[in-house]
Amino acid sequence: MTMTESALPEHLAKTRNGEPVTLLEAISEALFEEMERDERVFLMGEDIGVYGGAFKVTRGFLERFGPNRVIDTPIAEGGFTGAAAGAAHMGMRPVVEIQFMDFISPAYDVITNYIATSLYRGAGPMPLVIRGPVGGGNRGGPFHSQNVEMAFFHTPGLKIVYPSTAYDAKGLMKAAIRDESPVLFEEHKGLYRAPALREVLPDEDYVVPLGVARTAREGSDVTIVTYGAMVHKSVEAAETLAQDDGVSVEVIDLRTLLPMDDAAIVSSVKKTGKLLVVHEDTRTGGIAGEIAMRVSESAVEWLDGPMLRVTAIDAPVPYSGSLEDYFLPQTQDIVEAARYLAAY
Amino acid sequence: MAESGEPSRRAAGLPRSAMPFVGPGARVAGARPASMREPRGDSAGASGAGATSGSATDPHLDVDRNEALGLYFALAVSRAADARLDALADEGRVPLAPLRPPLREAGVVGAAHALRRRDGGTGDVLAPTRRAAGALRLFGMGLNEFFQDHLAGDVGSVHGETTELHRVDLQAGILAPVAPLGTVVEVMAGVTLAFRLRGEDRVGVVFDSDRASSTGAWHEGVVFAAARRCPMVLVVETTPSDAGFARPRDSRLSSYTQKGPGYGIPAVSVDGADVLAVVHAVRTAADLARGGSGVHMVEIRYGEGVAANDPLLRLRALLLEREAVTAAELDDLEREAGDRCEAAVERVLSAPLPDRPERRPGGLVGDRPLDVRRRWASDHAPQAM
Repeated sequence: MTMTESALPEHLAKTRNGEPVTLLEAISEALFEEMERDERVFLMGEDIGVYGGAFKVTRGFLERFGPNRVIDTPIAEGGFTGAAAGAAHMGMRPVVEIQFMDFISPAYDVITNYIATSLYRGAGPMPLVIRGPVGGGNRGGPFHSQNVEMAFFHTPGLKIVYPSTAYDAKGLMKAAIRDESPVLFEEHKGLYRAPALREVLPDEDYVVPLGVARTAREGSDVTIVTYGAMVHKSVEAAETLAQDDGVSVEVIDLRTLLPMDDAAIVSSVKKTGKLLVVHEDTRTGGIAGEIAMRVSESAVEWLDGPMLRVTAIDAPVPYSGSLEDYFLPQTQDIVEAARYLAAY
Repeated sequence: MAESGEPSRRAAGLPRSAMPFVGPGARVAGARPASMREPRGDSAGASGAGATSGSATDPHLDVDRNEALGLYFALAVSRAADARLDALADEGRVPLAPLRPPLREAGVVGAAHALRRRDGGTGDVLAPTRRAAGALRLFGMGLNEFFQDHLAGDVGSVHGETTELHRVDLQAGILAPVAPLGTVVEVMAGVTLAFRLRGEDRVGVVFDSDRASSTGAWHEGVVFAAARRCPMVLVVETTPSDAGFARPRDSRLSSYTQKGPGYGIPAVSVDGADVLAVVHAVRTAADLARGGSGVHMVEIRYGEGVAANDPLLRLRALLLEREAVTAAELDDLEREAGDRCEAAVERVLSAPLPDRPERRPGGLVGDRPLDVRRRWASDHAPQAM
């Protein structure tokens, strides 16, 4: 089922033409190419076919792959996520789109009780991907802006991916689809079409392995561990600190939250002796607590200061734009926290 | 570890001792399940997409002698296995008290019998009720395996002792239930979606209780399967005569078939004490689903009338009335079912268990506190001070 070059929709041919792509286009390319590569891969979700998805990630897919592989579902997140589990049982590789990840809650039961436990129950592997847009800053209010990773982070059996660049998004999506485990794939909608993230991707097939962090910026004085949209704010903060204070900040982009790359975190902390965790998710029960505990278990004697965190505040995402800006972590918050740590 | 494995006997569901009695072509003529009837209530049998399937009410169901004996033995195995589990629970050998009401063997046994059972992941798929030993045996699961799953934590399919059966064996066609009600309906929707997408001539039959039909999972699973015309038979087991058990608290419906029209799916209701009626209803629904007509619902009613509730007694009376078998033959089958269960339990209980660390699937064991401290010490020692 190899597609001729002429059949490739224009918006999906950018990498092939050597043009830069956005993070959203990178995800589209990954899905498209995986569907080309493996006929077991199919998509389900609300309005992903005729409409092409709320964010147009799957625009043109229905025409190319037909209604049996691009399935418009009822508004029933639990139903079609559970159905994905059944299809995975039968050897298929479903990719489910949750239109906004805020709406994943009706599927929480089947994800945590059925899908995540499948291998451990002796019911076999569960190769499926649940993907969708997350994150704030778009004036979406409390129902279109949440980060949902920590609702699932505590569930053994799941993998959680949260890319910050177009290159990673494409490679991680391919790795997720090829993985034998269920993968929750979070896509920050603020990064979808961010002009600064456009990049030319390799034309050849590649994957970014799950569970491996990357160093987004090297440094020696303070370690920032972060992911998703906060990677870019953290790098921006690091540049400011380097320029204004002469402080060298290392930024670790987790890329995969589960499994977490402990070695990358610990290695950086051993180098800098200072740890700041930055996440857009709310504070209490956020991933910063888990990272701090892992560092405490493995590298506490290398620390030269308290472990700090910069996060959203403990509140629903506000409707008001000014309140949302107050709610979300901003670059200046990161600068101040890292400056405090550097001087500690 | 199946206690019997020969395909011909497995297909019939008969024990070895029953085979000499089987005559080719012998039939129990005129076995008419008068208890199969139109659903109660005034909307389930209405016209339109939710209308009752007419073929499911066909009163002329003949069953050959071999088939009847196979059904009888499967019912007897289910009853004997349940009784043995009850006893094991009383002894504290399984962790929870049995929850399944008695006299419900005919539903899942009849459904299992109605399906195309094949090895190698090519047959129909059954998501049964709990503790359905006779039905699972029809799908190739031996009694040793059945009791292993309940008793022998380290060698059973789920690596734990449990009153419930959670085995998933998709090569055999078994998709066991999970505790959250309704979830398995969602999953079966996807199993049967795969059949449809791949053009396979297969169906899935999923059991869940009347009370499960109150869950969002059940609803969403049915919505999805109905919308995609998945080849799925949805079985709703109900016990309307149990005082306070289901209907008064959970629904104002007089029959759960009344839910069918809301989803655009046909629905029939059948007496759960009449295994032949169940076979016919499920087989009819499965054939229709297999033919492309999408989801069908079968309501199986239990516990209507004290005297006629027992499916074993009902089938026994029918077979004796038709002079198809002798009472001694049926007694032998029941005795053999009990003996096999007893032998399986003995084998499982006497089998040695492997050491726990050797059998964990998929890296289940994480760091224990001591592991963390050892790692810290290991990391710390060379560089510290």
